[in-house]
Amino acid sequence: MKILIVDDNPQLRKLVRMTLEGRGHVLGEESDGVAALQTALATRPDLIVLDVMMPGVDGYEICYLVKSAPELRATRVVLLTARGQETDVLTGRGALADAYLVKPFNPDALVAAIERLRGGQPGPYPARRFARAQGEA
Amino acid sequence: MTRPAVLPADAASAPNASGRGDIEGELAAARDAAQRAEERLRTALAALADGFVLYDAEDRLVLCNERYRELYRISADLMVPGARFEDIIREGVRRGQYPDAAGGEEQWIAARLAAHRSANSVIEQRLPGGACLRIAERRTPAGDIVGFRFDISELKQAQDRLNLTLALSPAGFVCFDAAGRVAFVNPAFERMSGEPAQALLGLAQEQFDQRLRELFEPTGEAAPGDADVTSRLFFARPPKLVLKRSVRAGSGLTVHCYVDVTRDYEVDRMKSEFLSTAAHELRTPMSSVLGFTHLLLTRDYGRAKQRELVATVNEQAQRLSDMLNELLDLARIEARGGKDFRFEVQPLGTIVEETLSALHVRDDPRQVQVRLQDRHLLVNADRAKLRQALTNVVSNAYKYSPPDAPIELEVASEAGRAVLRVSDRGIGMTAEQSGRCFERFWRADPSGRIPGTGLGLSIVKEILELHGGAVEVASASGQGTCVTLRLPLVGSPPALFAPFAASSHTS
Repeated sequence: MKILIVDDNPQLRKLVRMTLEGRGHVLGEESDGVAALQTALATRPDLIVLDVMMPGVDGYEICYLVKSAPELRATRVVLLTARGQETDVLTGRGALADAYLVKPFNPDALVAAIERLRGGQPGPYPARRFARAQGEA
Repeated sequence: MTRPAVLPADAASAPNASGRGDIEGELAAARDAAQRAEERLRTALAALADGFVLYDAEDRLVLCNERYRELYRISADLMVPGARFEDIIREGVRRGQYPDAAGGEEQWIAARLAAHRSANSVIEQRLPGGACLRIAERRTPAGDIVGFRFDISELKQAQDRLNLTLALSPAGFVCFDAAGRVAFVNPAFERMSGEPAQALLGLAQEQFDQRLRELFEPTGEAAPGDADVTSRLFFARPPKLVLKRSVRAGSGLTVHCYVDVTRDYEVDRMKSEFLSTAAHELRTPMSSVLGFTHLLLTRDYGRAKQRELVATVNEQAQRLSDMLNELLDLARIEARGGKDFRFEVQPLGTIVEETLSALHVRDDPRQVQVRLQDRHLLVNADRAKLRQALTNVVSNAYKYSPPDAPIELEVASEAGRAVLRVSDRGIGMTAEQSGRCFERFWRADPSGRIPGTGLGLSIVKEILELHGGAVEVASASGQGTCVTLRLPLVGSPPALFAPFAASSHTS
């Protein structure tokens, strides 16, 4: 798979890269949202691992733009964020993300999420939390 | 016209001229009965706790009880049968019996006469010495005027006490009468709402709530008009206002109490915002530590790679530790408000020298170029805290400038204040960035390449402010940053002793 890693923190980019290395993926990195969108449009990755809290344009917006671009119809997005509240999960849903992981994340969980998405299955949304948030709304 | 109830006092001693014994006897019995009735009435009136007075249809005093004379002590000698009401009050006004009349005597007399003659009103009247009467006057079918005077001084005082209390209260009060209309608005509520009481008095409860909505453009959870006993009202109109409304109802009255909780609300909001930011900031390095150690535990890497990952973990753990320390510093400084600062008058130059010699920046051979205008500038400072502040500012200069750019530190006195000015020729900040640099966790370099917690300048600001000083930042993107710390200067010895010298001259 061609995977683009987007995070403003270099340590976390490195962590994601090392997590995904050695599995036959082609990995690219970007440190801000706008550059990530340009790179995505130019290289059409199969998957983007996207941090939410970035200065400037945040991950939700980038996610939405990616998911609504016709040329990126096949691109999956995994949102990676330090936030873990119900509203954020809902925002992630609204931004059409395929999966949502909360930091600190388990590297194996990220690998598993990507494998599931590759197999055409839905990603690991915190289902219970999501249902509760929906019930409250 | 006859007087059925009260006979003239001399009726009993009328001449006894008739010769008919039985008639005489009946007459005498009738007189006795009448006399007894009048005695009883006089006794009853004398025992009455309230003032009682009777005027005839020509407005001449027929009788009054002792209590009535006591109440009008200054003009008691005028209250004799046959005296005209108008003459009594005119003389009373002249003698100062009626404080309300002062300054507008004729007007007051005219109003009092009109009320008296209409004889269907209840009015209040003040007496000298703060006493207050309620007057009830009624015309009898015979055309007389019966008047009662009730002493309501205590009631009035209680009311005045309440009014004064409500006028001084910082809480806003709105009272609704039994008909549900605004009957009272205190000054604090006038200030909160910006509405004069006149504009609100008489409004029905619904109209009042409607007016609140118009005035404040409520936002947020509870809208005014909600039935709960206590609700929080959020108002968008500037100045932004959060009021807590409590409603109490009893004996037909409803009272609203409004407390301005804007500050508490802001503090709460800032606290939870700070907490969530802090949690986020701590979670980022924690993600690295957990993630890389997980990789090390579950995957096989060569020795070099292992070393590299452990170094990253170490660095991130160090960052976590720095953040926690600085958070604790900040919390301690804020909580104690400077109470644990050990202030001592000492030369600023010494603090600067100590700070610079203790400063070690790894892999950076640069020396700070110090310009010390006056070695003997004295400040009243906590040495450790001021060193911490200066260290934060100087290490920022190191971190945010290239390794060949000079860092300068100027120590001077300006306008009676000690000034420490640290300038670098580094990456600088835009105006927007300069405006945010005292925000907690805000970093001029979000990439994470330059280590830091985003708390350094917040700590500097707290420390300087607790010293009675201030901190300013001037910066231009790509050119460098200049941070100025200002502290109150302790007068140099001659200045300190100057007042004594002056006073010894004059004595």
